[in-house]
Amino acid sequence: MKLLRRELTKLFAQKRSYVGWGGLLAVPLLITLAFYLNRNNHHHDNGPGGVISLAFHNGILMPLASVAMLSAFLLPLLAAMVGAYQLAGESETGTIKTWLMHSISRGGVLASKWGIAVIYVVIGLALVFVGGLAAGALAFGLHSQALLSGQTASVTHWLGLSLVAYLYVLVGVICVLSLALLFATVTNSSLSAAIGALVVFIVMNVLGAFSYFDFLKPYLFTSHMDAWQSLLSQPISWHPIVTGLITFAIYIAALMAVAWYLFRRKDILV
Amino acid sequence: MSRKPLIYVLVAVLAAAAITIGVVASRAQGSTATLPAIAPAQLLANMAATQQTTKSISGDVTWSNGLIPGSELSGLLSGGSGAAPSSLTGLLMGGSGRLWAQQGSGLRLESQGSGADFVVVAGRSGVWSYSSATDTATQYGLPAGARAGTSPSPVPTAMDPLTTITRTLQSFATTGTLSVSGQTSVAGRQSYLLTVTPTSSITTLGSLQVAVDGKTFVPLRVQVFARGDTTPTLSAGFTSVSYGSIVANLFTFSPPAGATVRHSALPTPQGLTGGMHSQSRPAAHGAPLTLAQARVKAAASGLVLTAPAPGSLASSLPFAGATVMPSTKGQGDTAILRYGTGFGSVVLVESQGAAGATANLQQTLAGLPHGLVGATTVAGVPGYELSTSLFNVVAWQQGKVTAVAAGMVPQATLRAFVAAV
Repeated sequence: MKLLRRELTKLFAQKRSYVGWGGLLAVPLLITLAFYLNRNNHHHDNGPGGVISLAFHNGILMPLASVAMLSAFLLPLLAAMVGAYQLAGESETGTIKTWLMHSISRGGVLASKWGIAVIYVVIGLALVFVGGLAAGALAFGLHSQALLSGQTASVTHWLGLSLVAYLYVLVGVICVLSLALLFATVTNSSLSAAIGALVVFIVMNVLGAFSYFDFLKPYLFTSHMDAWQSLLSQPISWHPIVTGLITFAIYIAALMAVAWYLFRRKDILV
Repeated sequence: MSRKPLIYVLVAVLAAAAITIGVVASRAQGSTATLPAIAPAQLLANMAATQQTTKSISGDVTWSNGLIPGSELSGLLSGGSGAAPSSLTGLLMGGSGRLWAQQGSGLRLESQGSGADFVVVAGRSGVWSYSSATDTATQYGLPAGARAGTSPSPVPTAMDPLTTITRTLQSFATTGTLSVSGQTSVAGRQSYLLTVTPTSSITTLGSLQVAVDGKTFVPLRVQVFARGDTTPTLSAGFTSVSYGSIVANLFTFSPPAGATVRHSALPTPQGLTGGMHSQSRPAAHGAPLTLAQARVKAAASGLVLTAPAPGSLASSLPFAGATVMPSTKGQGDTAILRYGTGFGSVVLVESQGAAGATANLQQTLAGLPHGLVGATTVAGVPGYELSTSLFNVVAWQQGKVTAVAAGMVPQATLRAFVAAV
């Protein structure tokens, strides 16, 4: 816990933290602005489509529209960066040696690094949620809205759905984060670790896009990333969400177990 | 030091993953016969009887259409999951979603795309579709004779897929060979595979395969194979299924506030497939006419029939009867001439061109995916040709008569037929 608190101080002292959060916050604001400026143009069939285009007239949908857009790339990118930097960044600056000279377990270091990276993503997602909701409310107001399946749902219902969706996306993004942390135990360069995690993420996405590799789909965490969208149809089919969460949990546990194994035996010479 | 263990760990992780995938895959492949053997006739009888016992069915469904080129790629372009259709005809492209059906309550089909749904609800509130992408609700007027008030079920029987499948299979008894070709697992249920192999030797249809739940005798999957193909051209079925009772409010629909509401005529199967469908139910229009009778009847309303000379046709396509339908509003008489037998038959539909009929035809053809329709020449006049692995269609305009020849026969056979007209 003490380790985590120390990490938190570091997190808030680093400028790069704010750059990432700023980028995340910019997305809902930009989406809202684009929709707002385009509000009199009713031919919105050419928009990005899906959940995003639903948010055209209703602020309540802005958090979901934002996360739908972010979960494709920017969110995994930031998660990979923050996950990679936590360990490899310390190697780069040489501070990790000082760290490990204290009488603390390496498992504890790894856990606190993982914890702080998760906190970073949670703060980022919270910014997107609140930013999207505030900007959406300002531009369009918050009204009850039809679900994808045609039934009308209240503002509170939508807020609840959005919250569950955000939690789901968070768990999915933690997979990328854990991947980056694992790579960071192997390499001493945070850039290599982050890129390694992103490469795996993109390769998985490409595999998931070809029907020839359909048999792999259930085993790729990336193909479960959008499963939260089944929340938006009534009655809710929980099956894809539960499957996704189980897959994420297996990935996170396996990745962290390997990371812990490697980090424990790692020679810190630099 | 740090190199070696990493390799071991990676190898171990990969090996574990490979074994897991292998085990799961081999388990999915396992289709050992665990159900008692059954004769096709008994299976059909059980299927017919199940309509009294199985009231509700729901689950995840998936359907694919290999007739339309490029539908495989659409998923790739939109990043994994395809876009949801926004109209009834869009459903024909293939997709996945959920289905609920309950006798006496109605039917609900939800097609899920990336971030958008297309829902069809047929129940006491009528037949509706809702597209979330365009926020449009469409109410469909039912065809005459299938109104909600007159039939005991709020849904026209034509929209009850299970009954339709069973009835269609029964009607195939004369045109194909029914067999129980094996057992497989569909939607986690051990099922019989009921296969119809056409008796006709010239048809493009290879076989029709229906997977029937071994316990409840509900058809869970339908697959249509073109001749010589091992992958189905058309396929529709459950990937998970439940027979539990369904809450009735799933079968009612009222358009959400703010949605665009449209009214439209329900596209009937006949409307979607043109004259193709009419060959399966000649009895609906009385006894078939001879060619001479048809000529006389059609001439009464000014429709001059052109038909292939008896000697110019292949022996596999003998004249098999004709039907002349009286003119309906805004349209002249329509004559349907049938040639050949069973699945290997060809229908020739000729109708008195109402004003704008050619324009309508061209518009319909232009709306079809690129590559399906080609231009051709029939007896010196331009025409259109639609070619798929399962059926072929040629349409042309001769004077004031619009003619369409169609059949589940190879393109060369149909071209030879058309050349003889």
